[in-house]
Amino acid sequence: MITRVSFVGIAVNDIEEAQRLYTEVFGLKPWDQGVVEMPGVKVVMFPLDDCSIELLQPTVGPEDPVAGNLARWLEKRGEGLCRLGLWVDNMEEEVKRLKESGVRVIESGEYGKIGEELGAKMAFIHPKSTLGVLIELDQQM
Amino acid sequence: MIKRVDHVSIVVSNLDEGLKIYENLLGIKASHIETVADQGIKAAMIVVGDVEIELIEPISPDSAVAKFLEKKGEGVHHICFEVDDVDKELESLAARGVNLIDKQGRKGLAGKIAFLHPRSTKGVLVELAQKL
Repeated sequence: MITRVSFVGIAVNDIEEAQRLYTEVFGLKPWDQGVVEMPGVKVVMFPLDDCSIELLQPTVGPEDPVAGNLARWLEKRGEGLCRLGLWVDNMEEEVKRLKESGVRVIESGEYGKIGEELGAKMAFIHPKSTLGVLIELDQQM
Repeated sequence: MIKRVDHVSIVVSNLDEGLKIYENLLGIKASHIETVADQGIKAAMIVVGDVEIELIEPISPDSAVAKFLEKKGEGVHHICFEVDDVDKELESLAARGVNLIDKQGRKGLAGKIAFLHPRSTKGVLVELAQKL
């Protein structure tokens, strides 16, 4: 079951500059670890009560087969809202339900490993199945 | 001060089709559907925990939402933050150099609302809403 919205992701070209905007102009407080480097992407989260804000800057080009989707997004649409994170209570059940109803779920490969490192089970729903929104599913482990 | 995310809005070219997809995907039925004539949109709300996912379809071809859809295609359209006092927030954001679409709060679906210009927010259309 999908239980909550976990975050809204924003694609940016310069994460340091974007972080300044969200702290100095909007008055949001980033998580303690600051900008974090992950495979193919730099990330900073601004935790809010129910749904956090996540800034994402690609560190690989659009040609990268695993993490190039963010760079491709920026190239095509420019900076802006790019991703929606949802919490699920049971990933296996949810992925099964979605697949059975014809939704295209991406659950394998590098993403799985990143999720494990972060202590979460992770899967994505392809924007082709969501009218243009990349949806990330997370289950806390 | 920003308190929380109130809703995330997704623009679709056909609301019925969009609802079918999202109700199936989220496993949750829409709570209500409304037409907002002054914004030229039809909107449906799906409540996910404490945050709403709003689907919007432009019904007037010269609305800002219709132009967005034409230029960028379907996808996330805007994010709405809940604030205590919209007018006070607008004043302080303007003083920090943010371009405003609405200089003053006005009535919208989420309460007393105002939009900030994406030029000032790294391409993100931001709505502020004060609950009434």
